[in-house]
Amino acid sequence: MLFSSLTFLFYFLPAVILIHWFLPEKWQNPFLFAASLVFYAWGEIRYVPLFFALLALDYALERLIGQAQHQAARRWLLAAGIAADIGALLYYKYSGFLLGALGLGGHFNTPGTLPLGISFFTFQAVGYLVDVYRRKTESEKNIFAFGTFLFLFPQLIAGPIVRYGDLKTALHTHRKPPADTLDKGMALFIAGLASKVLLANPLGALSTELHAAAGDSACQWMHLVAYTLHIYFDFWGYSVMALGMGRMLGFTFPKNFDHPYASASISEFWRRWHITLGGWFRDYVYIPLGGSRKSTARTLLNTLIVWFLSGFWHGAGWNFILWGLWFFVALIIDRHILKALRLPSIVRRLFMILCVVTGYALFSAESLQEAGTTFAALFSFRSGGTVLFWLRENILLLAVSLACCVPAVIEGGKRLLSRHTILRCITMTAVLLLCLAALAKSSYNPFIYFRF
Amino acid sequence: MRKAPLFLIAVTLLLALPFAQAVLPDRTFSEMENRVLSQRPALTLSAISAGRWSDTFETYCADQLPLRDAFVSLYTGWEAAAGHRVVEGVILGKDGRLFDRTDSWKPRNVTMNASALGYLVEETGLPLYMLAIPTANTVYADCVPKGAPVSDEEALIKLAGKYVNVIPLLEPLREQAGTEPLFYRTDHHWTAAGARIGYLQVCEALGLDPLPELKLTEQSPFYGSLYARCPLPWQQADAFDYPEASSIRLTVNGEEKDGLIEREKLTERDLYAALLYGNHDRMELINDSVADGTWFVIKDSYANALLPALARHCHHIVAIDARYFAGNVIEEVQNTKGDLILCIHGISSLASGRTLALLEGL
Repeated sequence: MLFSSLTFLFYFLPAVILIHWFLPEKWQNPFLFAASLVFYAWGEIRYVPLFFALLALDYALERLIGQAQHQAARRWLLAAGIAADIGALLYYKYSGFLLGALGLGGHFNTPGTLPLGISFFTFQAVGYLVDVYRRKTESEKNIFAFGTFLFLFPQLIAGPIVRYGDLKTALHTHRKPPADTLDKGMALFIAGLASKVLLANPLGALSTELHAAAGDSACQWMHLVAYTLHIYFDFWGYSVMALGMGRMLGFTFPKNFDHPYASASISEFWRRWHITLGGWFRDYVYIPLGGSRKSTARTLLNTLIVWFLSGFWHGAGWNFILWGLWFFVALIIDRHILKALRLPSIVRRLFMILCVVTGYALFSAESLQEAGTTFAALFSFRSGGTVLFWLRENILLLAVSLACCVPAVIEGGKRLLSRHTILRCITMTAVLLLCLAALAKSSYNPFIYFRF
Repeated sequence: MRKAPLFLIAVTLLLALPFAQAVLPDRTFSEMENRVLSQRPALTLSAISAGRWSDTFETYCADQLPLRDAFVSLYTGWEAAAGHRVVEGVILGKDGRLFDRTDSWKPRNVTMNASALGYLVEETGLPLYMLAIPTANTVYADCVPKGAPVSDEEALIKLAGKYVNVIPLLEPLREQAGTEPLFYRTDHHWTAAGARIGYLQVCEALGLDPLPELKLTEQSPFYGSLYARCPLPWQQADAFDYPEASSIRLTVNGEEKDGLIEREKLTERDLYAALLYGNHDRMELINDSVADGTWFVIKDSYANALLPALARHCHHIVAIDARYFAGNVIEEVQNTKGDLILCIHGISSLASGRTLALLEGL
């Protein structure tokens, strides 16, 4: 079920929030767990057994790790847990690609579609098992609380990747968010929905439109700019919707985006973009590998590994791997050349923008060949002038989108709406109606991060 | 809960719409979209376990959304207000004119279709005349936004002329464009006045003396196919004129119809579909007041506005629509024993697909 589908908006969301609010504490976690199961089964009923299998396995292992006394046993149990979760991810997401890369493409059957949210909940499970192993968090006894943590529907399909510590207190209290929290939550949800439906979707359509003008340099540049904005408002929209729903259910999820396009350098960009994924790689891959505490060569290798994995996490394809490595190179240039040379800050900022925008030529491509064609067009500097029509056509959309990348605009808007109740009600209701109108109109509603 | 006004408003709105949907009777057909709407899916265990039920329920919710047409219209208006001039493949032009987006047309399709007609001439030995009707894009070119994604129709018509005998039409249409509406604002077809110019051009090409204009009856308002795709709340409607020709009998697939106009269609949105009872694979027009002359016509919907006037010049017209006709076209022409072949087609169907080239026998 997409958050931006009518069934979700009309039936699922209001019912779940209202029922959850009125339930006594002991029923809240089982109810949310059941609701998340329905949410999961709605789109992918055939993967429900997988849902239960991973839940049972991860629950058993986290209990055993929590109780085991011997360090070796704990280590083996953790290894088994990581193997199971990452194994499931490898099987469902990467087996087709890996077999193809090994030249064994036609010999084995691979799962056709990706189970919903598998990239997110497997990472969440691995992170949790490691935390229990490191005794950073207690082992959760209640299977409903554990299941709710692992599969909580607002963050099931597009993150944020939540740590158990973020939710622990809320999972064990009576969640009855006060009126003003419900109001804020709803405002966030509508803002996220608008980001997805009123900005990301038309930007996606524009990006596709321009990409079709193959060979036209200006069109390909503008295609990438539109894609850069599209993917941000798509993903940010989903994250904000998750945040808003979390509020209305009594949870506080971590922020996943902090105005990334306003960053002053590429290093900063990655601290502000998909924050929970970056944090996950830092805590569960980079630091265990030694982080930057060892030799320069080892630090470089660790960084390379993290960016290889990060690229690969985004998709099972060479273009995603290259996209990860693209940022590895960019970060090295930023840290060791641009920063070291003490160049004017605008240089690092422009470098960030250039890397991010052109990087999407790799990210948005279906194949390496397609990415190559786009790059060739970008730097051919041949253009027919159609770009002017599409630029004028979308000037308002682009202007509003760019403005929404500026922290002061978003923060100012938030302040204004939180101070003036009537203005907030009118604006947000109008926006919600417009979103419903867009959904009624649109069949163009694919969600990019849905298949992660 | 006075501290949560937005929450209450939004939840009420989100619950009111499905409640209204549950209470109101389901609509069966959408006139705007010209399609049957999906109905409430039966809740069965097998449908749920196969994963189908959720999909069909989603479609049902979208199809039966209360105020659906109003919502769609609201969003279309929003897009136009936000500066878009291409909405759902419709170009918003000056003077409230809507145009079709045509940049996906291919000259190769015109070549294939026109050369297929050339082959038909070779095989049957009959003279063939083609009337390639341009779109409003070319006739009202000054109303099309600069740089809009449209094809060069003049070049495409010229291209067709390399293979078949094309009757000149574009210039006369352009010359008259300022005097009266030759194309609808809200529909891709030509008006009765546009078709009248087509009629005069055919008469000139065939050496016929034009007859006086048929009596026209006005039916308003008319919101055509372009409006259905892009329903702007402030769209100006068209007036629809249809010709009456009582001396001509129409037979569609062997069944004789009552007049040339399907009266029931005049109560619906798509008035153009009333002309000659819409599009059929094969139809015949018989004019008892003329003793001889049989013409074979290959047509699309543009011809429906023109054929009543033309039928006054011969006894018998056999007209096939290449999009639906499944028989062998050469055999059909030979069986008709006609004097000539007329191809009356919008340049749109000649350039957007290969319908003529795909006819059996060609």
